[in-house]
Amino acid sequence: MPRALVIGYGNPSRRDDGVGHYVVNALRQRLGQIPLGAEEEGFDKLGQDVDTLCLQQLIPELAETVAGYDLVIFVDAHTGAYPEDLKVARLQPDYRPTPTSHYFKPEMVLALAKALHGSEPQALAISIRGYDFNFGTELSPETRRHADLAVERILRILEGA
Amino acid sequence: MAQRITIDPITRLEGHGKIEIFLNEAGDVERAFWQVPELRGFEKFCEGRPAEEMPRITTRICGVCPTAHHTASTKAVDDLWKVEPPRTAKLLRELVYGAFMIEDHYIHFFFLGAPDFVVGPQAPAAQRNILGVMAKVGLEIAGQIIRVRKECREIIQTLGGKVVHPVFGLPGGVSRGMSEEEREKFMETAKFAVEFAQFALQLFDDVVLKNKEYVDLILSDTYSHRTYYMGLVDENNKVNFYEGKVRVVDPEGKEVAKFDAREYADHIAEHIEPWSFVSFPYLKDVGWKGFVDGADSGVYRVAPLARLNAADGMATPLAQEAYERMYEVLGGKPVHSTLAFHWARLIECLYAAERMVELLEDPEITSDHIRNIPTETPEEGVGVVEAPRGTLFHHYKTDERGILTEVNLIVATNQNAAPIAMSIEKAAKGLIKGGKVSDGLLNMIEMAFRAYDPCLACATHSFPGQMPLEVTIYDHQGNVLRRLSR
Repeated sequence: MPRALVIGYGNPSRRDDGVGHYVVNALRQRLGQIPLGAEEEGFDKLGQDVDTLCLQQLIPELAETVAGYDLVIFVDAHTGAYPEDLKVARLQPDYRPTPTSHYFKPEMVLALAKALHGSEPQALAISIRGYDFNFGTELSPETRRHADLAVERILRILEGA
Repeated sequence: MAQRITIDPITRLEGHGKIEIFLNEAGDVERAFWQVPELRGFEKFCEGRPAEEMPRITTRICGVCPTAHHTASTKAVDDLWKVEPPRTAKLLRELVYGAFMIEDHYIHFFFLGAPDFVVGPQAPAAQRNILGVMAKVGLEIAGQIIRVRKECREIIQTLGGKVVHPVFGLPGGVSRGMSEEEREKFMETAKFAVEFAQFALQLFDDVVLKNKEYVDLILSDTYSHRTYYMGLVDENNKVNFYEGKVRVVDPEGKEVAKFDAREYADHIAEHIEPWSFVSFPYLKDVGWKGFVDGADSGVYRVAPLARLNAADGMATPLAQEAYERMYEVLGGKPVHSTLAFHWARLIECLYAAERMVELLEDPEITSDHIRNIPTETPEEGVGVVEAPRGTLFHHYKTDERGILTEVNLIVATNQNAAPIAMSIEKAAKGLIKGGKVSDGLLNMIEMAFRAYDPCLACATHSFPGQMPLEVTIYDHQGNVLRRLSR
């Protein structure tokens, strides 16, 4: 079975920005895995057929982790950049400079995995519309609804992989 | 020029940083503005919470520089409870902090700053990145960069529990000590970090300093501002990231202020502009005179170059040599060239690595005495550190139970807000003529911004991670000529 990695990223203290974390933990429950704690990233729990990570930020070192998988799914909130509330898109390795060191995109991680490790996993981005980015840990009802749909979508993708 | 400038409130939700450039009839730049949406909600969010939670809460401001907030916050709660940590705790805190400075500085230098010089500022975007750097200087360099960052982050993880949200600092000490086995392992990392820092400086020398065009670019007026400079210094006025007094020097390099963290409000005030959500700190004694350079303007800069300018030297020998060389090559002290921030950043990496070796050689670093329990009643506390992007203040007021009643954070990038705005405008004015704008030129304007390595999430206490930059150029009638989004 192909090895898959689902990465939820964003700030879980900023409500809908933490939707990636919510999706990862909901997915873990469906897969019979214990949810990650609020402070856990999940690197010490890798090694299953389907692995998950919860990160606040993407960093270059993630390329090494990603290189070991056949399928990588990135889950994050979007703030209206897309018309869809739930958008699934294929990703290609693409390294473009960003204005700040704080903005590292999934495509850049993939580009480094390819350049440094010769690895090019199939990659998808699941972007979920966020509505409330104030301080707090709960998702808005609308985002939560779409997040639950995202979990179902991911499970179908994993079954078909 | 277009008469009206509006800031779309939706931008706040989008989390964009915007650069807006307005051209006159001749197609030259009349004004340029750097706009950042700001939500100063974090300080309000913390009111009513126990102060001892702040070292963990404030790491949530940002996922790239959480250790800076964690450490400033830890020092603030030390001050709040008037408890002095034992020497071992201070050694350990400074060790973790040095590891953090190294890994943070390198991600900026190699992934952002270096490509401009190694590949060239006008090179196509697809090449002007770390992959382009690797193509020019070899794949092995990427492995070395990742190794030094990984090993430094392992130090933070071992002692702090996690890299991104360390749970290390406590009022009066730290949560975990270090074993002898760990000390030996970390010493290998520190020594490797010294070697790598020397390699990085040699690379800068070979690629940048031996290229006259780049040196001219660094020294060009387009990228220079004669400002005041601020940084933390030790008792010998040498750069210190973790503790000391805040020192300010004028554009000639003469000391004009030196104060304890607690006195920051006596020296720093904030100016507000109607076109920006971010405030613009300035020196109170000099006053706000606008976005202008010079000794009569209260604008000051923070971050690597500012720290080196504000100090009399580096506290470790190899870094001191590198410091002296930089000032010799760039024509004396202080250096006003914004692009020299990149060079200063590398010198700081060398200092941090040498200092880590010193700390690890100290036998007290493995002592069990890692905390003094607070006994005083809390009231008010201020902590200061030098974050990678500049001086960072955390100021807390509490009731007698230690519940926060007021929080004020003066973050590094916010302190550079006025200089960043000035740098962008000056670069735009110097580079855009007759309405001609190429991607390469826009990148050169971004270089002015990028040298400061701004953390917009920290400056705005808003959205970390998702902070794309949008550059819009308007003609003299306010029509959009070009729009570039990264």
